[in-house]
Amino acid sequence: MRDIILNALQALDIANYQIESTETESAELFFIQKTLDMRRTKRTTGCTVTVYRDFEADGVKFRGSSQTQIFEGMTPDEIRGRIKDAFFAAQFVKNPFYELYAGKKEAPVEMPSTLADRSLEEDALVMAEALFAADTAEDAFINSAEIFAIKSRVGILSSAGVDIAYTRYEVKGEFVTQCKIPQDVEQFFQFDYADLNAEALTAKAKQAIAAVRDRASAQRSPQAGTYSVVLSGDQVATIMEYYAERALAPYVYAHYSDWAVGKQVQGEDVQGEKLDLTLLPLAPYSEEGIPMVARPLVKDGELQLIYGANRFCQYLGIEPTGYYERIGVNNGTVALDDLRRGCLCPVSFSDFQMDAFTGHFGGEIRLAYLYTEDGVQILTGGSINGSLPEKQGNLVFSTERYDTLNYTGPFAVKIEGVEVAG
Amino acid sequence: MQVQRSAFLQAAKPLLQTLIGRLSQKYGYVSVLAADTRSKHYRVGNTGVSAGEDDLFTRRGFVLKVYDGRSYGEYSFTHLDEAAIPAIVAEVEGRIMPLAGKLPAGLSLSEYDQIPDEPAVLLKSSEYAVHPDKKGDEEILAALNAIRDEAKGRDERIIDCTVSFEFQEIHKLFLSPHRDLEQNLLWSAGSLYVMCPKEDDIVGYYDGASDLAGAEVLDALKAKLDNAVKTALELIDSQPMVPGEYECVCTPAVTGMIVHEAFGHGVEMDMFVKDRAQAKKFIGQYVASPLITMHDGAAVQRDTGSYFFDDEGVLAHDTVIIEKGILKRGISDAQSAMHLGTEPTGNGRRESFERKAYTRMTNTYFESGTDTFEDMIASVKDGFLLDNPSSGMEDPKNWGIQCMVNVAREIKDGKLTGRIFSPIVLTGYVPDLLKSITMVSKDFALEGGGMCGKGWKEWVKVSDGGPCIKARIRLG
Repeated sequence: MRDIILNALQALDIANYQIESTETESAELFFIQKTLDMRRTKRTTGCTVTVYRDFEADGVKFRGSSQTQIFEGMTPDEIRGRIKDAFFAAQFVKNPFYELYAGKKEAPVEMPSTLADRSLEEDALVMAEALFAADTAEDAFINSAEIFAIKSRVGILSSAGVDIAYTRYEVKGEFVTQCKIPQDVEQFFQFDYADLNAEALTAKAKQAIAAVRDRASAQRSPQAGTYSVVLSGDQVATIMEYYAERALAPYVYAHYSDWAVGKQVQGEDVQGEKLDLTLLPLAPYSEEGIPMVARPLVKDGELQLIYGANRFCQYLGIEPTGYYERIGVNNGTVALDDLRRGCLCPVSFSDFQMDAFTGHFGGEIRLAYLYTEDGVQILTGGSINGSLPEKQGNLVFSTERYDTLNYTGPFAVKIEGVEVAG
Repeated sequence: MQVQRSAFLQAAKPLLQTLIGRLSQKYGYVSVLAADTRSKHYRVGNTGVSAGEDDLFTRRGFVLKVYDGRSYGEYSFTHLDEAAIPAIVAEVEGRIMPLAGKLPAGLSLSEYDQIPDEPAVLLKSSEYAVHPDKKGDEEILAALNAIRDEAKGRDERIIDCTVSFEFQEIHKLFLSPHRDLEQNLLWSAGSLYVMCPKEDDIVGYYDGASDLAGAEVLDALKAKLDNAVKTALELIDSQPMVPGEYECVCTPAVTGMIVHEAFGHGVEMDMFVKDRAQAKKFIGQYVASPLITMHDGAAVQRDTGSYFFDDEGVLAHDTVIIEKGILKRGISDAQSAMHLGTEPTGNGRRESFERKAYTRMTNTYFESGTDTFEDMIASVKDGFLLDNPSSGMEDPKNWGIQCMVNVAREIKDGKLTGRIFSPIVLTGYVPDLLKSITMVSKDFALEGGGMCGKGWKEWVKVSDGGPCIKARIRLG
């Protein structure tokens, strides 16, 4: 397919382009309780072709671009037609000129993964066994689950010399736990691993079943008021996305964010821990073929990097880095048992959200623990609503760690003065 | 004008029929959904201009569904020619269906009856006035830039107005031994988002327009600009909400979010199969005010959730879910209906041919009532007019509401005071909210600009809406 695309580009006299090809295979299992409800496999191939067109207006140089999708089964004439249409559209995309990212031919990268040791369907079955290994009780159990074992091969070729390819594996999915006594409740969980991490999935399922059992016994909502709140697990990752998004080159270029390298992102008066954040790669190359390496984002509360796609980085006069989907948080000073003393600890929300424009975070509480001198109360209901820009000077992180595909760092963070609606 | 047929699907059809014939020698039921979809997006804003085909909505490929006498398996693929057929058959026979026998100890197989393959032939296309391809890239981008420039020219506090337009031309072919269905659809949607600084934050107002139509949607989008600019500027002076339960009047957009997020997901009957929806126990009971009648159906309204048949080859329906406050039935895909012993309602939808079918909403709404908007505002002593939904999350199991709206306008003694609050979280128990509805307006509007997920994935286009409603709602 790549040769047909290159021939079409040459025939159309298109000098600047990028071709991204993706081959995907997957094995997918869908369970209702312990029965397999559907099994699927997938084998697909496709290409995204981006063409660039240079033009001038009022003496200013512009570079427009447009994308088209190319699929198996398209005839050479059809491919040529699609690319021609995209090249036509590109002349109306009036963006300031920038150079394409200049790369070179690199050896294909096979990202190491234990998922590669077996077939995808065997990987999926191993993870199914691991998930349901935790499902041993009568009262609380796994209601349903979906497991996807995926192999992707990505290739990027550009007119600026980029010629890279890599293969990555992933096993991901979701499951719901349910407890019927004393009240019928459920909780939703997701997982995503780059290796055949069966032990981690079993541990996660055990915790999930314990959590839903607690939720079933929770009767009351927290009283409305202001609390010290400890967020944990995926909610910490969501909170940290605020810092990653605010430092995006397109946000800065568009004046959605006024952040600049050297800014004290938590403000000048930091009573809690000063943030230490690192951007981590999930793939060896970005969507433009830029090599991805770990990059410090915030050190001692000070912004180290504005990052993003080649075009926006060039506009800002900074090094192009590509987009990062994983964040590492290197903080953590207090053991979890000490951190949550006297705090409201929501561990599950129906939907926990962070608005990167405003810094507002919140959600409806599915399960929370209130740690008081008299013991632990199990609560459900109500919602939290806070502003990270107002509260970020007092963040304290746990020494316990938490790892997912898009986050590695402390398991929990304490935030003072969060409003809770009962 | 009618949407034209796909030459790709016409060329693939004989091969797919050969494939079905080959697999039918061994399997009791075989079907194929073939899809050829193309979407193009246009966007202008401070980050620049973009125009191109969208990779989520531009797809071309096939999904096979096979029944082995006990259960179902599926294969999604893109490569199809004469030479590929033996490999596809081998994938089904040698890899997918045998998975059922390789389950770890303690796990078993869900057993189903065979899908009744009732004979049907259909060829239908939707209509449009102006195809976006005909209007052209230059004219579409010029229209978006004109809206943006006008917004930015209104007030120097506006830091950006992003304006976008997208369309999707959909061609689908469903084939089984006895069914031959083909549909060709075109939907279009536009949106605008006006942004203003508020101290260190950015506040904004989003609005959109959509239809099962073509570039004519751009005119409807332009008409939304005045209110979007006015409200975005008002949000600069917005205040945080004081938590409490209030009398609220909801605009059709907020009604739509309540219909869709708070109730609609709870009547998706694949959730009944999994014992994940409280609605299952409330069939035949009052769950809402007698003023409320709720529909879902791809056949009943014309918007982004419309089609002629679903991704399992079931013809589109108009399903009355709530009738005068009583929950009558849910909506379902074919496999869930078989499990529950009910009739499928044409709601089996896939994100693309690459994904499994689930029960999904289409166009979901409350019927209009008899009240006027003015009377509804006048009836509120101390409450809010809720507008501009920003997000929502389903909770079918517990019927908990978690919806966020961007704008709450204060009402005191029957009059809007001019004070504005933002952002606002709606919480509570769904039937409590629906039973508290005391007024329903004559208005009616659907919005289909957004996407609906199942949990956190499986994105499909839907529309939702209805009239203005007045209800008691807990705000935070």
